[in-house]
Parts: sequence; C-alpha cells; structure tokens
Amino acid sequence: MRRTLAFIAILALLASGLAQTQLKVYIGGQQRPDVIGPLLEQFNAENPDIVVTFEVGGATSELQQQYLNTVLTSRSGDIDIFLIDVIRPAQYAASGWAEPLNQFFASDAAMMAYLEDFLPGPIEANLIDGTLYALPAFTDAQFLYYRADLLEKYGFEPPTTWDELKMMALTIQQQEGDPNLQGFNYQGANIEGTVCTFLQALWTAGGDWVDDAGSVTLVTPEARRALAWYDDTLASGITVQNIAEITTDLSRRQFQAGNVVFVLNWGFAWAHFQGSSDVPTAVAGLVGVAPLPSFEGFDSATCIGGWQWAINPYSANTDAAWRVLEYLASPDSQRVLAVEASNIPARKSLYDDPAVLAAAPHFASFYDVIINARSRPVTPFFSDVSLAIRVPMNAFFARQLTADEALREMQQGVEDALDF
Amino acid sequence: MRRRHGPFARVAVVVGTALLVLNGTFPLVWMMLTSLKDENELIRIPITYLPVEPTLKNYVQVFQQLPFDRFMLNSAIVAVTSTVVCVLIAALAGYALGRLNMPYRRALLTLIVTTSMFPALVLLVPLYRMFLGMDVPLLSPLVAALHDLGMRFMPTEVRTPNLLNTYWALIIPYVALSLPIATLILTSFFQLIPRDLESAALVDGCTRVQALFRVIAPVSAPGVVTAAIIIFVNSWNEFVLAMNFNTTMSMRTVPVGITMYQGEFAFPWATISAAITVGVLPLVALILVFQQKIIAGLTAGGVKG
Amino acid sequence: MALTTPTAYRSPGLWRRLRSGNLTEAQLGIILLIPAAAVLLLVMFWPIVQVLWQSLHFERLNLPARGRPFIGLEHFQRMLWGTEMAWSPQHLLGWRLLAFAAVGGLWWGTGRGTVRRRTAVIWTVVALLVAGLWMGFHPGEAGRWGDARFWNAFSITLLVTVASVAGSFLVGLPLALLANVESRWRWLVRIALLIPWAMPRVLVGIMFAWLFNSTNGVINDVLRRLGVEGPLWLARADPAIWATNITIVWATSAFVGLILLAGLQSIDESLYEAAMVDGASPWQRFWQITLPLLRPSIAVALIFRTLTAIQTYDIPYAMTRGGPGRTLETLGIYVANTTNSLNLGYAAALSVALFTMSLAVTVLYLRWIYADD
Repeated sequence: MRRTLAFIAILALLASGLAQTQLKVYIGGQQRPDVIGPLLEQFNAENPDIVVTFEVGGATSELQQQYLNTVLTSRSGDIDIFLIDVIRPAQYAASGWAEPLNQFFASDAAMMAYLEDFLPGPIEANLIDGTLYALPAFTDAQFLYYRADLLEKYGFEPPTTWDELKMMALTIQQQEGDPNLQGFNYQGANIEGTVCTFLQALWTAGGDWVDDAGSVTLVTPEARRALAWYDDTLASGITVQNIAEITTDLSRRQFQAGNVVFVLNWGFAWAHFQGSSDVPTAVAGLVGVAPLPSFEGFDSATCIGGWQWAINPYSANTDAAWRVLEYLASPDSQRVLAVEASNIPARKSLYDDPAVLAAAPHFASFYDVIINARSRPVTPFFSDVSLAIRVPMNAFFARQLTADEALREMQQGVEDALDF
Repeated sequence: MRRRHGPFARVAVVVGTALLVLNGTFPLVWMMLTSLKDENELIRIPITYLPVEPTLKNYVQVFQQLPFDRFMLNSAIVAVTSTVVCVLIAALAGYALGRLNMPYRRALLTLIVTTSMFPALVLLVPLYRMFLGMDVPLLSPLVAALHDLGMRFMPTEVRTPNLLNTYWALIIPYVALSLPIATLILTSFFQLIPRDLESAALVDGCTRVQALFRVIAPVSAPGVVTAAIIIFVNSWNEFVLAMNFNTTMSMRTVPVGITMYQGEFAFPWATISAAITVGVLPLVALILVFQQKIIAGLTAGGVKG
Repeated sequence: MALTTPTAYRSPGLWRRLRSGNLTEAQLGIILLIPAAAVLLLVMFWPIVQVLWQSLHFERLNLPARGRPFIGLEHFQRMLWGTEMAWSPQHLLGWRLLAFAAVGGLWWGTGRGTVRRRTAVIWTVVALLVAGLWMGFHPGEAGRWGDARFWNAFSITLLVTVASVAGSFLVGLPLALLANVESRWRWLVRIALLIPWAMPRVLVGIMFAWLFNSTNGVINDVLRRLGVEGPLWLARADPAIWATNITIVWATSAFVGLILLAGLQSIDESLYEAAMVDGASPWQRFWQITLPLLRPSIAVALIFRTLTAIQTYDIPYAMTRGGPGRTLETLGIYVANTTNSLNLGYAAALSVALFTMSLAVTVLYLRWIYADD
C-alpha cells in the first residue's frame, strides 16, 4: 500500500515537473542580471507552470554576439529568449533567428495599438516590413554632456550649433589655462560608436547615408561638411590628437575625471558622472545634458541605442516564451528596469511616471532627445555596413585618409555590402 | 654551466638579466601595484606608480562579485586533466616518430601538425555542434538505413551526447589542440637521446617496450616537462572555446571569468588587475616549482651518455 | 627493416608478438600512434572537413534565400585574382614577376640534383611572396585585383609573422641562455620567462593597449619623464604596427624561450668541457656546439611560433580592433570579421588560405629538420 502511494506520489511529482515548461533567458553581463533576476523570479511566482532561468553571458556586445551566432548557427533551441542590440533585429530577421511576433496578437491592428506606447525609434528597428521581431527592453541615445559649472562661469547657454560649441570650447580652454582640459570629446576608435559619431554629424548637416530612392549618398556636400567639422575640431585643438584611440569608456572616464568640457556619449554615462561608478567622479552635480548641436538651420539628431527582447525560433516553447516577453516588455517591468538599473525607458508613458522621475529626474530632459533618435542603417548586412563606415572614419581620425578619400571608401564599402 | 666567465661576460650577463627580467616582470608588477591601489589613483595625471594607500579591497571584490574560486577550480581540473592525457598520448606518439624506424615519418608529423593550422574561431561552430549533440556522420545514416530496412531493434539515429557545460567539452578539444605541439616537442627530444642507452638495455635483455619505460622515460624528462608546461598553459589560457562551450557561471574558466568583470562601457582596472594577479600567480608558481624540481632532480643524476 | 627468417620457422603472429613485446619497429610505431590518431580523427577531423567543404559553397546566413549552392573554387577566384580584371601598370609588373618566378622555377626545377631543386623552390617561393606583396600594396586603379582586403590582410600577416617570429627569437634565445646560467638569480629569470606567457592573450592585448595609451599610458609617461614626447602609439598607423609587434613579441618570446631552454638543458656538459680543454672561446662554443645541437628545439619553436603568428588575432584585435583603419587587419581578424558578418562560405575559404600558408611553411620547416628522410 505504502509503495503504491509512494509510486503515485513520485508520478505526480514527475508529472508536475513535466508539466512545467523550462525556459532560459540569455542576457549579457552588463545588462544588470541583479535586476533582471528578481524580475524573472517574480514571473515564476506568478506563473507556476513556467520556470524561467537565466544565463549570463560575456560582458561586451561582441562576445555576446559571438555566442549567439554560435548557438543560432547550430540551430540550438537551448536558449529561448535573448537580448539583442538595436542594430541586430534586421539581421536576425533575415537569418530567421528571431521568431516573428505578429502571430501572438489578435490582429495587426491590435499589434500596432500595443506598440503605440513605445518610442518610435526602437520600433523602427524592430518592425521590418510589417513584421515585429523583437520588443524593446530599454533604449538609449547619444547626448551632449557639458560642464554646467564652466558654462555658467563664462555665461554660456548650452550650444545649439556646432560653431557655438567650438567657440565656447575654445574660450573655456584658453581662459582656464589647463593644458589637460579638452574642449570636445567623442569616440573615434574602430568601434561601433564611431558609426554614430559620423552619422550624427551627417544628420545634423541635413544629409543621410541613403536617399529616398535607396542609393547610397555618402559622397555629398553634407558628408563633406560633417568631416570638415571633425577636421576642424582636431585642427583647432578642442579635440585631442589621439582621437583614433578614444573608445566610449575612455571618453566617459576623461569627462568623469574633470578633463573635458563637452562630450558626446550614451545614456549610461550620466549615472557614472553622478557617482554611481567604478571610478570616482570629479564632476558630480556639475553636469548638464542637452541634445546634440547641429549646423545652422538644421535639426538636432542623435543615434538610437538600446536592447531588445527576442525569441529563439528554434526553441520548443515559443508560446510560453511569448508570455515571458510580454511580461518583460510590460510597463511594470520596464519601470523596474528604469528605477533600479537606470535604463532609459522605451515606453513613452514612463517618462511621466512619478516613481521613474523620482529615481531618475534627468530622464525628463532625456525625453526630448530620445523622441528624435534615429536608427542606424536598418539592413540585414549591418555588420558589413558598420565596418564600411567605421573603418574609413577611424583611418580619417588617424590622419591616414583625407576626408574625400574616407568618404569615397565609405561609399564603395556600403555599396558593396548592400550589393548582393 | 660551471664556466669561468671573463669580467666583460659577467657584466653583460648581469645587464642582460636585469633587462630581460624587467621586460618580463614589469607588466605583472604594474598589475599587482594597480590592484593594490584605490580607484582614485588610477585616473590621476600624472600617473602614480606605487600605491599611495595600499588596499586589499580589490581582491575582496574579485571574490565577492563573481565566484572566482570556482573559476580557478574549473580551470585547474580542465588544465590538469588535459595535460596528463595529452602528455601520455604525445609521449607514445613522440617515441614512435622520434626513435622508431617509421615509414613516412615526415608526412605523419606534417599531418599531425596540420590540425593546428586552423584558427579556433573557424572550428568553433562545427565543434559546438559536435558537443551539442549531433548525428554521427557515417554511423547514424547507416543505422537509420538498417532500421528502415526492417531491423527494428536498431535505433533510428546515433547521436553524440550533449557535453556542453561539462569539463569534457573543454578537455577533449584541448587535448586535440595541444597534441601537435606536444608531439613535435617530444619527437625532437626522443630523437636526442643517445642510442647507447637503449642498446645497453636491450643487450641486458629488456624488450623494446620495457626499455621504453625503464630507460627512456626518466631520461626524457626535460622534454616531457616542457611539453606538460606548454599544454597546461595553453589549456588554462584558452579563451574562445571556453567562452562559448561552458556558459553557466559555475562552469566558467579563469580567462573568461576575468573578462566578466568588465562591462560594455566600464573597465574596472583595479578589480581586473587583482583578478589577473590571482589568476596568473598560482600558475607561475606551480610551473616554476614543477620545472625546478624535476630539472634539478635530473641534472643531479646527469644526462650523461 | 625486415628480418629474414629461416624457412622452417614461422614467425609468431601479431598477437603473440604483442604479448611478448617483440614487434618490428614499424608495427610498434603504428600501435603507439593509435591514441594520437584516434583523438585527432575524432575531434578535429570532422570540423576540418566541414570547413573545407564549406569553402566550396556559398553561404551567407543573412541571405537564406540564396541557399547553400556549391560554387567550387569561386571564392578562391574572387579572393586571389578577382572576377573582373582591371589592368594597370602595377598589374603588368605583377604579372612579369609571376612569369619570372615561373620561368626561374621551371629552369632550375627541371635540372637534376638537390641543389638545383632547392634553388628552384626558394626562388619560386621568394618570387611569389614578392609578387604577392607587390600586388597587395597596389590593388590597382579600380581596386579590383582580387579581394583588395585579402591582399592587404596577407601583407599585414606576412609583416607581423616575420617581425614577431624574428623578434620572439631575438628575445627568447638570450632569455633561454640566461635562464640556463647557474646563478642566484636563475629563479627570477625563469619567472620573468614564464609570466608573459602565463597571461591570457586577450588580457595581454587589453593591458598593453592601456600601457600604450597616448595620454594616460605608462610608456608615454616614462618617455615624458625622460624628456621625449612619445608618439601617438595606437592612434597612428606606423606606431600602431610597432606597438602591436612589441606586444606580440613580449607575449610569445616566453614560449620560444621555454622550448629553447629545454633544448639547452639537454646539451651534454662534457661537450663544453672538451671544447674548453681544446681552447675554444665562448663565442666559438656557442656557434659550434650550442646552436647546432639546439637545431631541433629551434625548429619546433619556429614551426609553432610561425603557425600562431600566421593566425594572429587576439592581440591586434584587443589593441586596436585591426589597427587605425585597416593597418593591422591580419588574416585572422579578417576571418573573424567575415564570420561575424555571417558570410560563412567566404570565411571558410579564407581559413583554407590560412591553412595553405601554414602548410607550406610547415612542410618547408620539416624538410629542413628532417633533411635526411
């Protein structure tokens, strides 16, 4: 009798175990597993039929991408949900590496209504030809950070044009007399961020990398003007000569050490500047944020960033995975990410949310920048396009190529990348 | 080498030693000094060399932030096992190619070395598939065909087991990756051993195999130790496969673990310096002791013919 | 080495031979090689075959519509001489050099005797290298001689290989010699020998990138204190090449030193003693005893140092992601970038090119050590 009972008990346990769907979420080391972990645990508590575990990957975008490439090329369903950079959905869509999410909505109209609350920038990257491939986790953009104390000292308002910025930087540098003080810092190394360095200058000159007909337009007066501006920053001395080795992190550190007046950097830098950082800050409370300047008569523009949740099409549990995705993209989860991890929200409604504003009042000033953030080229061949833009840009900053040569190389490279 | 050195030679040796020691140790010493500094000092211009206020908190941080002790255990297990297995296999192969009259010796050596001519990155996906669990190339279709032909007791496929996130996922490739160099080293060492030693043993009545174990093995120790050190360090420091095969936190190895302290846009130099120091010093100490002891023991006995 | 047996005596079968330990050398050799062969076949054979097979197909994962068609040697054609021939004066020179190589090679190759054949091989190899380098640096007006990026990577890889192999030997041999000298400081020298190599390559790259940083780096700081304005190491092309090679030499000279040290330790003391009795100077002892006896160790170190140098990826990538522009985009980095672009077919073809170069080098080296075979 006891044996039968035990047998039934074991069967029941097994059955309940089998009835539970096991899902695995993959995030990178820098995406705050300490914040996402509790979120997922709460999901587990609310949904007893699903058990979600998460795996923490490498700490840089490249290492994570290498791992995901390996897993997805092998068609492994090991991971069910993963976080991908905003530049990837088009590539994943083309390779069939992200499950289309339209099927989980009642209709396309319902889907568009659902997406209303999200910022337009991330959606532009995730919605390709009417098919949704990922949902935004959080967003990002490049901002102009400046030393509010120095600007105030010399009676300047945040610059709205590049010429104003140059004038202010020169004045401050000369007046302060500190040889270590840089006027204007940005990224020029052979990294992804340099694509943004170029595109932002191009956009604020009124140009774009492609025209309405779809031809690549990189050898244009606007592009030349953008590169001429960067030439100017180097020639006038407001930017360091070794700009070709300045990475995002280095750029952030130099500003944080108090050695820079203006810097172009991503949203994460704000928390670092205010003190929540691995290195001490010399600029806490002295930093202002503004949209990027532009050339006279043109609008400001900035590059979009951020990460998106996507479902592995080789997974065996795409329906259960969708429930997790929905949960993670919900306003509540996004609020947690915004408050605890200082991730810039991807939902418009959260910018008025009292909890969010209490934890991160600077998000209010971020909003005006983020709403106008533009996507880098949305193409399945983004890796090649990115290389085609940033390698000549890096060579230009290293004084290996002149502006015209760099632009021609970019043009040729991007055309080759898209010519399949 | 007990030689009388002239004064010029002595000075040259001292200066050369000093330069080369500086060259080798400076970065690690700098790392160690960095790991003892508070983060304040790291961003100062001009940079400071000695820590103004030495602190051990970076080392504490290393072990608190991530299970670094677990990483070291994993690396140790993988490296030791790979070394032992690889040295054994390479010693056998080295003996065959180095002392025996084998036909096509050079071709066989070339073939063995061929396997290290492909970058690990390219072999990553095929190896990943293999360890993920795939149908064995010839065996599986054969078995499936037999099953379809009516032999219902045959399984429909033969798959390799899923070895990811186990020690075997790393040990097996590391043995294969280090085999070429270990074999080549041991081949060249076995070649150097004078024939007289073997002949004497054979005359005394040993068989070839007995001669191998009793006479050759002890005398070839420098080569074996060198090969073992190389395999050990290669396996300890291997990055690409370790990064992609063992992805759960409890199975990661040291080099991968060290890179996990950095963020996308943050590079905590102090913590990482501490992690590197902790990761490298035991390795160096181990190798040093190992090499010193064996070589000392041997040269005392003499490698004389 | 067949043993002649008396006709009335049947030699024991293999199994009995095995048990009594009395095998011919060749048979014992084959048995001893079985574990190594088994490991390599099981683990490496399948991936390598896949790579070779992949290089004959077109596969771009972000173009699944194209499928995976078999295209034969088209990748290699595109890589080496291109599908569109754009003629320029530099191309003509390149063709002349190739013809020169072919004629010279054939002339001596058809001659009899090892000297002629060796000259032919050396001549052809050198001429091909020169031609390849020339064409790599002059991709033609339209930039369409084969894959310009491949030829650039080829030139860079060649440069890095020669520089870092030579450098690691120049530093490694003295290191080994010093580590062999009996002195109180021997343990320190051995530590200095091992440390650079005990650090994971990825971290060496990152560490030296920081050391070479133009503003915050230690090296420029030291130079500044000495009154010299250091170059912008990683922000300009030429200094970047120097910085990267220095880093690679630093990291790999330990490996060379270790192998040479083991070789040195196997050299018989009595040879030196005999030479000293004969009145040989230290220099003569070095050239006539040490170096010749070190030849096998040098060869081993040379082979593997060259193989790793041809595949160099970690350090240039960690320092500058391939150098300012494409200055340091070695073949290894080119393969990595191509793989990340999900162009698997072409990445496999590039790996085959790497493999071919490595194979050529290894065959030449092994021919040199085992010249008598």
